[in-house]
Amino acid sequence: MSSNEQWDDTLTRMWDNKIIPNYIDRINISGFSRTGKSTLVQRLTNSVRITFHENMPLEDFLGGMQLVNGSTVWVDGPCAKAMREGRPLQIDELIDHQGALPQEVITTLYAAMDKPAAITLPSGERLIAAPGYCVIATHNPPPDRLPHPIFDRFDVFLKADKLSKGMRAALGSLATKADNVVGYNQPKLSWARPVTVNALLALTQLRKAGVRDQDAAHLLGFTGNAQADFLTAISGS
Amino acid sequence: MSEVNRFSALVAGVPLNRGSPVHIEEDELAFTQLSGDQVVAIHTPQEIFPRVHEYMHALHSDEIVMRRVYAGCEFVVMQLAEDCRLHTCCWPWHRYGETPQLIREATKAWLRRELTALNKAIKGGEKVSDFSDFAVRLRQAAIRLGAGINRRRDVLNKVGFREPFYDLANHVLDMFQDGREQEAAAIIQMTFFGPKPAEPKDMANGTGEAVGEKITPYEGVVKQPKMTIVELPHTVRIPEAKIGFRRATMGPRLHRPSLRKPVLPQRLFVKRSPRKPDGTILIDASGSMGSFDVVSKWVERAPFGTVAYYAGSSHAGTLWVYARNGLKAEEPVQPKFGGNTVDGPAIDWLLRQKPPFIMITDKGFCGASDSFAQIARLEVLEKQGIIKVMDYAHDEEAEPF
Repeated sequence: MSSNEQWDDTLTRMWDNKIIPNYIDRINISGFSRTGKSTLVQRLTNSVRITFHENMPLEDFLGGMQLVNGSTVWVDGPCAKAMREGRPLQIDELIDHQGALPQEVITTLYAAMDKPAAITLPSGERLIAAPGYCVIATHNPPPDRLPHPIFDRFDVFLKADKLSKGMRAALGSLATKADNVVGYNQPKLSWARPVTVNALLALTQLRKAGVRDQDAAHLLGFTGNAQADFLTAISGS
Repeated sequence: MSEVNRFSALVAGVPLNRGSPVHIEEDELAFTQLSGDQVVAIHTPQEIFPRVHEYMHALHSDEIVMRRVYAGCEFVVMQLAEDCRLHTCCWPWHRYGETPQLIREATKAWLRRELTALNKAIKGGEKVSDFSDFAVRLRQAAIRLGAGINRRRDVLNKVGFREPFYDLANHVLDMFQDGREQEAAAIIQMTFFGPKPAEPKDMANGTGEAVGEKITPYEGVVKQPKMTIVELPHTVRIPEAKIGFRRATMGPRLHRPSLRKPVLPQRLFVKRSPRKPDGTILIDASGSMGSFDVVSKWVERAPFGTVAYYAGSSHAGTLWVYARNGLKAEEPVQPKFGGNTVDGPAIDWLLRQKPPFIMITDKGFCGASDSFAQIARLEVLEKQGIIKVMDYAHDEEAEPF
């Protein structure tokens, strides 16, 4: 894994080598639209997928009581399903509707992204995430627009600034043309990650997975001078 | 540009007991603001290597300790010594080869650029002082060594010291690696600057009174061999010591022969001013000198000067003042031992005498722990025009003063 590697190769390699979800289980992919973020995650990980939307009710996210065959039973939503089955929970458009999400959804999201993730369902069941559960979020705006409690819960930040291989394959001969217009008329992908306790926890996990510090710094969202600063700060430890 | 970096990873690495510094991004400025052992701010430019360098200062430099350790050293010597200490002993990645590639490549690029700029300046005829040249190269050597870019056996050649500074660099680099930075700084100070005038803040009692004394950083740091100064009895008048006359534009007496000239010269009066070229000549009387007659010959050529010679044994030495103010000893005392050893104290003595200074030596200093530094020191003093150095095969016709 190299800091020169493209984001989709990094994601694929981390998944194939079981770094995700065994060592790293909170992944944020942000970047230009139509680069293939959501599609890649879905196909690679067989995730349980949800797209956040404005005023999304909790039932759409977590699940709720429903009438099934004449009985009122609890039916898992995507979040509960992923936790129960030990599958990746893919949250698309995480940032876009932050301002318009009900508080209960936000609170549940905090719990879903905790380590270990666990939620007490309205049915009274205490649901603890099964092994294999992880959260992969995708969105267009830079991740530092997330509220800090959510932002800091992510371990790894990938920047989708180029078309994924799958997208290029779909475009065929037009892929080169598409390269020229990726990010056209969209805000620049520049943001800075502060060093937090979670960043250092994630580093510990990446080290256990055998990832070199230089690559780990890049995965954690530190680039350019910030990458060098981070490597310097963690040196000797 | 001066902008606070609110997300600085660099300050995250500074331990709490060193303070809570702010990280300020600059265009080119690089320094770490210290207050005692606390880090107030880290100023870094946009290049990677200076950021690592300033981080090292933030972790390991202490203003109070530095003042104590480098007492008697010029600020530039203190800076150089502290930089070398950090890079040889405190590079963040301790083991050879562990430096992350990103940082290693950035460091190499920075080093390459700095060395190229220095060599280009010298080649282009720019005046670069001996100290500046030495400081840049020594710092380069320390950085290359600490970062694992070059091995010890290659680093000095890579950086390109010229003699006699190669030997000096070799020794002080060893000292830095051994944790003897105080000694290394003292040697660098004495080689390039000599003793430093005391400043009020140097005075231990903090009264703020400068007594005009000079602090030698060697005091208690570098062991120098003992030199005994023997003032031989000056009982014999030197025949060549004659006071001359000179013509002047005013004075008590007219120069009558000038009155017969068709055009009166401007200098018409005679003034009986002693025209006695003086100064001090120091002769290295070690075995390499050859015939001891050279001492007498210099007395004839500089009859009003102070003429002295020195030699050493394995651990100490003696300096004999043979002639002064037109008088000399009956016979010079032939040294029993033919070593150098006290070259440093002898030069110190010379610089305390009346200028101009001449030293007769083949620069083959040896026998003392800092002989390598004294060779470099003499080279610097010679280049600065403070001491004129002649070897034994000097021009017989040349006037010393």
